[in-house]
Amino acid sequence: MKFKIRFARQIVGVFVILGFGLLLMIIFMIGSNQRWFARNYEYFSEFQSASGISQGMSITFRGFQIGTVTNIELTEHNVVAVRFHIFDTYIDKVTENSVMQLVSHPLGFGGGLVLHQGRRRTDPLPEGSLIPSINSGLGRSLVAQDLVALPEEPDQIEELLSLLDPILRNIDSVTQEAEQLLAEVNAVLAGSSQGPLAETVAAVNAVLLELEVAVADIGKIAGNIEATTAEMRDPTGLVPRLLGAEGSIARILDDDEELYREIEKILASVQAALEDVQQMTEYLVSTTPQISGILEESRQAIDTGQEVLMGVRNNPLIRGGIPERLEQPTTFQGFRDEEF
Amino acid sequence: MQMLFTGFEALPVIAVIALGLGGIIVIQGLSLLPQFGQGQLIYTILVIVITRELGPILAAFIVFARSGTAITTEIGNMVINREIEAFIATGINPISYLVVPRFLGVTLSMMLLNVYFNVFGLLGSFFIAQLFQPLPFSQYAAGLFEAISGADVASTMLKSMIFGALIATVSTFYGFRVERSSTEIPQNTIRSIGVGFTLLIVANGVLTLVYYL
Repeated sequence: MKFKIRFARQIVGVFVILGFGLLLMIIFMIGSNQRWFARNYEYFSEFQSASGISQGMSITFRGFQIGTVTNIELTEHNVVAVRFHIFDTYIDKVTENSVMQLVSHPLGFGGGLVLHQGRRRTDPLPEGSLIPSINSGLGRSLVAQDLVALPEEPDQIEELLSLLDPILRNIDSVTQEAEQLLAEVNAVLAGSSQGPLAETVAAVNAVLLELEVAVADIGKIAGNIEATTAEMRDPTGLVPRLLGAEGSIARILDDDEELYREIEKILASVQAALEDVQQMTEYLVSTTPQISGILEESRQAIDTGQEVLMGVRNNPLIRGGIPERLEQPTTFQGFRDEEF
Repeated sequence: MQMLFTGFEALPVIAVIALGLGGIIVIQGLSLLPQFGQGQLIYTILVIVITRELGPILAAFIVFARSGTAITTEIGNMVINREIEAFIATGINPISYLVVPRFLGVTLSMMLLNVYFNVFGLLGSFFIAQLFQPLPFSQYAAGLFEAISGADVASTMLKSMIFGALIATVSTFYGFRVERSSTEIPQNTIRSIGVGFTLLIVANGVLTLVYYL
């Protein structure tokens, strides 16, 4: 029995267990990565406007994401209540006198809700507590009392320069690439490079050389044309001598029709010769049946002679007599002679 | 036995297609996305293409082409040979004896093959990514599991389950439609493929729409 059929149950078992195992592993990995199994601590804060705040927005602490905004609602006192949760791994950062700040970048490079920790090292705030906004009365009061550990304000110019730095680096890399491209083009034009462009430039050079030769030839032809034109202009030149009233061609043509009569005679002789040829052809055509009859009679005579010779050879006194003659139908038959 | 033929024996084909597809996505993505500073989107594209869309439908096409046609032919032959009548005569319900095991086997195999397709597709893309942009597996896995969500997994598993049920139903239905001539078997097999593929595409469209609603 085939191995696969013999151990079908085992193979299918491994196939199923491995498949479900992989599925569970994938689900577990997704869950652990997206904190399905981790505990989150709910807090809320109050702002004057929801502008710049959105559901799912990150809560950060010194650049680390420590939580997410879960809900935003407008209360009956026209205050925006922002509910958010803090990851269990960072819950110890949410200490007493902590405040929230909505940060938006002046140039639009992102932003978010930032947690500023209270200066006093205390236990984490109880879940569901209010963490005041830094712009609220309570928040301003805490800041004024220096109870909040605010980071030093970064120098705006320095920040702008830090943003400009990658742009300058990009420009630098583009310049370098342009320089390389120009070097490559120079190398190609100098003929010291390989590649399609270099081949094209070489081909163009070859074409230019051929063009130069062609231009030289055209120059020679133009010289000849110029010389001919000069000859034509010269009253004592070759052309006036040929074509003039006293020229050779004029003399040939002005001969009291002597040339014409000569040509007429030649044509009459040719016509007489052609008539002779025609008579000869007609005679041949008229004698063709007689020639054919003579040829046919000759052939029959040859056949009869052959039979006589065969009869003599097969004479009963000598051999076995005259053999019966078999008619050989002619093979020269057209398709029209066939009977359908 | 149905799972051996439908699930296990289709695994090499599924693995090769998934590896190739994952590799192609990574090659194309890594050559284009970093130019816009969106290299991180490769994980989202992988999840959308392999997990959510092409994984279930490609696995379903392969299973239909391999096992669906085999089921139609097998049942059609049984009808021609009067085996179905023999089952009924001996008091065995042919639906519970022939259809139900195939239905369960194909559906379960389809779900498992979809899992394998995803694993091979996403792992294959990691190995291809090593050729272009070497990165540690932990980083790749973190990016991938950040992009994939529980809804994606639920969507792909639901799709594969429904596709499996469709394949088994269409195949057995057209198998039983054979009446008396053996020439009806290939005709019904071809018909089952046409109808089955159409139903799979329609079901895929409907499920995708439901996902985004």
